[in-house]
Amino acid sequence: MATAGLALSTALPGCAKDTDATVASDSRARSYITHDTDVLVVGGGIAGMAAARQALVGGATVLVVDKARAGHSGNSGLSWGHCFGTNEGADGDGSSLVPAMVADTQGMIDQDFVLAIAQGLHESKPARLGEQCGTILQRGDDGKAQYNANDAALPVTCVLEYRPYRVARQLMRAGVPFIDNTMVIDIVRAADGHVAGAVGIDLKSGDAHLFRAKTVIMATGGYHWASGITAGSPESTGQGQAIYMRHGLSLKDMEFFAVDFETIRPYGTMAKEKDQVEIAGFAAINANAGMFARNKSGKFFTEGLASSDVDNTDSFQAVIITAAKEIIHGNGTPGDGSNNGLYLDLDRVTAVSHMLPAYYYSGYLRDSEWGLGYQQPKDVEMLCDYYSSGGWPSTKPGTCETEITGLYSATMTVSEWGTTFAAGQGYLAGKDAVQKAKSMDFPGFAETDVQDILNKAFGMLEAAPSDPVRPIDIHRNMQRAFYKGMNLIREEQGMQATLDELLRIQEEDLPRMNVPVKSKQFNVDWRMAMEAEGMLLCLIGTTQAALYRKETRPFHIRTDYPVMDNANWLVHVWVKLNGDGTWSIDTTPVNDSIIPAAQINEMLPPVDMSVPNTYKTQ
Amino acid sequence: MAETYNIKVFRFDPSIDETSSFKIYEVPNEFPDMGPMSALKALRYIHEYIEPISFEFNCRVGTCGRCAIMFDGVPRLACWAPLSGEHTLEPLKGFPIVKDLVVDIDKVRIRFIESDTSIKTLAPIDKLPDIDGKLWWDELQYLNACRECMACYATCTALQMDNKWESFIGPGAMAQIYMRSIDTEDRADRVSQAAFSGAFECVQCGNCTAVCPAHIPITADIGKLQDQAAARGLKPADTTAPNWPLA
Repeated sequence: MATAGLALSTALPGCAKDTDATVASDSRARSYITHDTDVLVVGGGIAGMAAARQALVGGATVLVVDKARAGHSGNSGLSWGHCFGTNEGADGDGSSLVPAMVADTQGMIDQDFVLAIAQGLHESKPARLGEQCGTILQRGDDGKAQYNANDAALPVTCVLEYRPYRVARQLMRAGVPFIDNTMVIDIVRAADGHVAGAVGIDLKSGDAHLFRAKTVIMATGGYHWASGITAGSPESTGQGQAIYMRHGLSLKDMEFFAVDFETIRPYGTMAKEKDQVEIAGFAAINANAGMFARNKSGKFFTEGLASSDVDNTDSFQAVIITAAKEIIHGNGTPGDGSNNGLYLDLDRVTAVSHMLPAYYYSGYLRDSEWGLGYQQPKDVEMLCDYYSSGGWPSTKPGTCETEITGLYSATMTVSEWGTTFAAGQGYLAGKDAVQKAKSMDFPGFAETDVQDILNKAFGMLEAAPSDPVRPIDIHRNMQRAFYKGMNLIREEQGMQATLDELLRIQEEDLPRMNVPVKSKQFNVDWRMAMEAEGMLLCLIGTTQAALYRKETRPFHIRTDYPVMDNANWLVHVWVKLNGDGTWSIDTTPVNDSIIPAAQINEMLPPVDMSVPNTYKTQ
Repeated sequence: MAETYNIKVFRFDPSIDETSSFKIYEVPNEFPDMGPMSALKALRYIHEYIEPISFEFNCRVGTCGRCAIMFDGVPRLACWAPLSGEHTLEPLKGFPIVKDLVVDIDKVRIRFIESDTSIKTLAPIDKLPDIDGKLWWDELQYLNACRECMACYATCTALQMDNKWESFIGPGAMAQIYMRSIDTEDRADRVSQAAFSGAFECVQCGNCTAVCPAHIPITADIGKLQDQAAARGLKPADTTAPNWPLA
């Protein structure tokens, strides 16, 4: 793997010219509809809506463009019950959240960034916004609000039943335009590199759109759909990450996914092939409630642990590490362990089910008879899934602006705190974008750039290769390849085989990609074709980062490097797609401006996957 | 041993087809002993292994509301529609068709927006208030879980049979107005709002309640709003059409 020096400077697209784009419309090869806005928000989920609201109340014009149905798209649109961690009830300015977030990421987080998020959350009060917009968050059995948390160890409350589409409704009512079912496929930039807007395709009709903007906030979520083993959204295909990469931004932390055990096998999967394990039916109760999970022998493996460091079912990382150890040491399901799964004990789940997020109990237990009318056996097998991905560009900590001026990233997620960071980044990015937009004129851009982008997209629809492959098959090929060597338990040989296959797909399959039906009307194959390259870039970058990090650090678990090594690996791994299609990898030490690295080392429990779980009584 | 289902699916591309048609697909369930397969899985099987077909979905587990279709003539979430032999899948009734099973939902989405169900109070909400536990668990949790799936709109007698689109905001939006009416924080006059959103247009047929995946007792909730509005003198003396277009 070529390792160039870290090059975080942005590369301009090859043909950016300094024109003012006043081209007569009938001379354009591909026509498009033009919009002007101060702030363009790409993605209408929790992050995008937080940003859009800041633009609205800051007096800027704003457009929200969403790939699918507004309020119901992406992970935000799953409406799974949204365990939403917020510190808005904590004392002070919210900065007390920082040590908890550093611990929950095993130190892998920019501390200035997380401080700004903590303060921004505390200021913007997203849970309260949800209630103001008409959601009524889950209460305890006694009706008490789960809101005010002044526990110093974890000054955050996880509220449940947050419903993003109610915020969407309110924003629409207040005049924020949502242009939905429209997929942004690339950004355009001025000659000096400043972002100038984005190009999108209306997926209902095939109409092309140019969104000229002074600032662009990427709120497009993750790329976990490409992993093939996800509870997350089919919209999460990494188009935002692909845009970052194509415009020369390095991405960090790609090797870390947010992990959970939620997939019921085989019923809850697309079960035609054994390895199509994305959730396609009911979801299991997640392993965060570790008391529900048994190993293949039927043992409740989180009970009676000898080590007090991991005998703590409140710690998400501890439960997943414990579960992974069971699998690594031969206790995964089924008999031969080949599924890397666990059993879920339904009796225990039923006892507490109504307090769990809707995703788990409504479709699975309360509604199973109403919905599909079948009874689950007492023990079902559940597999691990990825519900959110890594891969973020470098940003200014207080504003989320990337190294492309005017382009903001609100796409970062952290382990189980996805909603938290979405809300925080959207708020910070929106606030800054408004101020920036007010102080500048519309940037220029090159018409040829717009035409190049449209030619690429429409070319995928129009292509007629001699040995065609459908886009859905390319999606499946990359998903299968990724699941093979890049699921929860990793080692070098498997990861390398995954990478080799992904590169083969890129070189051999992508050029053969063919959309068989040429209609532009809601053409799902065409959408999948436009998504395929970005998904593949994300997976290739991720696999390289995973190979590069020679240690275990949740949730990057390696049997060949089973120990968490803070002395050498408190660093971010940055992956960069070069202009010639090659890749570069480099590392930077974690920014430990608040909690020094030595202290991080002390506060994190040790992780050694080669040591099996031990119990007080055998 | 696999079972096979015969799925008849509505096919229509308005940009190239003169008229709509139905096509029958054979879809296998390879794990019949694990329970029934869903219509959504069948659609995904068709798209992946037979031919391209357009339909909406996101969560696959019944919480997002995107996949609602007419399943054997009844609106329901495709991911919660069990297969057991032969079935007919059609787009949600009453909506303009975009492609195959995908419809344009704007005509109903605007009603949810205009139902204006943010909590109306001139006192600031500093923190989340405690609520009567029974109120949340017995009623509010279901109303909160409305996914805007629009199944209720596809089966509403007042809308689909009597065409009361101008005067009736519709069952889903009216249920959300009811939600605000029982919310102890809300200070707006929701009974008046319900009356002037067409609460009396509801004929209390019960179709909406029968199809709601969130288990909202929509019919009874609208009935309560009707009773409260009548008690306030808002019900017209006879039942001639209301005197407003829905703005």
